[in-house]
Amino acid sequence: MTPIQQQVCRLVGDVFGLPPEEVTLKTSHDTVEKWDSLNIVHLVMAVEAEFGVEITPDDAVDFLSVELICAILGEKGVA
Amino acid sequence: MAVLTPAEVLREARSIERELPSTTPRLGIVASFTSDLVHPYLIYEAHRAGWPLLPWHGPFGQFEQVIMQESPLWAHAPEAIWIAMRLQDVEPKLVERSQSMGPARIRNALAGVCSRLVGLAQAARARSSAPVFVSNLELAQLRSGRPFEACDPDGIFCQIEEANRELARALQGIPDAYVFDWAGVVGACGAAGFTDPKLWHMAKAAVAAQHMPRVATALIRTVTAVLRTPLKCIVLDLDNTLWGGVLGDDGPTGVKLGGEYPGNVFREFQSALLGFADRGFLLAIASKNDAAVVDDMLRTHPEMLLRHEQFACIRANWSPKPQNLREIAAELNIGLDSLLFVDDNPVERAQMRADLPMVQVLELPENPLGYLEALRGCPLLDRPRVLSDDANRVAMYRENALRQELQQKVQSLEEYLHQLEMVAEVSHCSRTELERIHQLINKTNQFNLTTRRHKLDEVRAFMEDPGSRVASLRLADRFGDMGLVCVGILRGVGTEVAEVDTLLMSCRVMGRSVEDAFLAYLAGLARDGGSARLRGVFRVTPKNSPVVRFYEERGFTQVEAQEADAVWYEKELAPGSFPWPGVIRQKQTAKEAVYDTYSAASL
Repeated sequence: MTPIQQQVCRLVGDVFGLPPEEVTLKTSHDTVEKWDSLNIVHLVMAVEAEFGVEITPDDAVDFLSVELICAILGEKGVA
Repeated sequence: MAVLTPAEVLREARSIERELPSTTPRLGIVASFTSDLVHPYLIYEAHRAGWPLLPWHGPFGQFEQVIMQESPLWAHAPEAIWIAMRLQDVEPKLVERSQSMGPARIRNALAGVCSRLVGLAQAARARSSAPVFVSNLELAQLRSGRPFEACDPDGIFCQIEEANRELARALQGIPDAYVFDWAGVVGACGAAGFTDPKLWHMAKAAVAAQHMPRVATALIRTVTAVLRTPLKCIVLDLDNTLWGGVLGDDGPTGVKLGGEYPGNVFREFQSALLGFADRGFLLAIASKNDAAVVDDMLRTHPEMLLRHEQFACIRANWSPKPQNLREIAAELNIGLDSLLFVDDNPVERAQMRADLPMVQVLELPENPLGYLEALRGCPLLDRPRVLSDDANRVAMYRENALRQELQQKVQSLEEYLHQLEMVAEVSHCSRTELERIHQLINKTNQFNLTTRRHKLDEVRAFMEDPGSRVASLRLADRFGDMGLVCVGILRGVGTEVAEVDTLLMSCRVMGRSVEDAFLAYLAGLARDGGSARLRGVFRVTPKNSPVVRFYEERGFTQVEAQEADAVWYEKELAPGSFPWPGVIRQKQTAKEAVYDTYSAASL
């Protein structure tokens, strides 16, 4: 994994309370029960603070897996 | 202290929450926005404040459904309740269309919100004794677009201020109901970015991510100030704390105090300390100095605002400060954990923390310009209500010094007590004393037989119950008025055995037979009510060892206790078995001050 991907995994672990070793690129709203709209907002706040980027509501709709979050960050020039 | 990122707060809060026992007190929240998002911040801040709380969030916007009927909120038996209603959520028209409404309709809309809030607080009070915190009203973020709105005395901003005043007044009439200064928090954070439009529209989050810590800190500070036992005494260092420089080296004319910078900084700090004294905190000195030099400085320096009469106790000597603090606590008859130690010297602070960990130590910045902020920022000094007895406390402690002088002059304790010319005024169920009674119940630690911390409306319920008596005793002597010093609650009056639910006395009057006078009064109330025996209950706490043998020493016999953590005693209420001590004169209470239980029951 790239450093950015590792960082995103750590944030996802913090937000959903998962041990770091359990979070992979495939971790998503299908595999995590608590991946609900409330926690997506926590995830948006965490990602914005961590990477200093603005996440729009349209971006947030796609905050559904580690992979997708990394892709959105890539579009914003975080790599 | 480094600021945590949102992810770090979530992680910390989760690990704190995992460790919280299931008995952790609940903070019930009903909000017109998504309060759940502040949850981790509240957990984290409560933990940092040393007062763990577990927030419970009612369904968004359902104030009446949650508060006015059986609901999970009440099943959780919350220890505190936050009613967080925002004006813009319940009266959205006020936000953009207030000008189209005109003054009268604005007033009606605001009055409607206020009476809804007051009704919710009353309903909460009827169901629980937990303190209720009601957010006041704000529309601060509107101000940025409307620079002239405040010119209009009937405009929205002036009317909101008016409404907040009405809200505060109405809540003051409800026991244990308080304003949570939401408007103040929004102002402190800055209205412009307080709400993040994205979070609001995505999730109805009223607070932007960067302001969540501050909102949580403010709420927890307000709530814990009401829940915890307040500190009693601020113990101050002198050199470089109350003035700049070292008195012993620089002399009274050389130290920096008053006038230009930096002397004005110290004078301002002294002025703030006077404000804390007004709010009922005792001030004391613990300084490494010659007593005579300090005495002279306090008496003669023209710029000193704090003088002898402001200090309940002065320790200027070369002993280690922890020893001085022990002596101060002993002299004032308060616990070491009631002291706040204020000293510019980090070495002294570290020594205090190491030797006396129960003493609270204020972390002062190196630069005196920051002292005031440090003092005001200390949540342990927040006091929800100031009662008239509080403001006179320093005078009371000074009168005590005169009593000690007398005691040293006379030959025996008996003679000392006679010469004090004590007058006790006993009464029961006096509504005018309710707040002071409640305050004593919640702060008395040493002379307290059961240490039951009854809430305000529980005390009121005792007053209204015909089988109970809430008794109190005010004491005065030739040196001054000590105010209300004893509180007792009887239950089961009229049944065979009346029980002393609560018996406590301010430790300032220990050793003067006042407790015997008060017990005689309580026994009289129980006997007049038709009971044949009096049951005394002792529940041990880490602090009430002075009264461990109280009932035994008064001829009570131990009986089998029906509670696990208590020892029960009983004594016949025979005539003459509870003598009123001869050294105290009993004064009849003025009729209008007494709220009679029997007439209350028939109202």
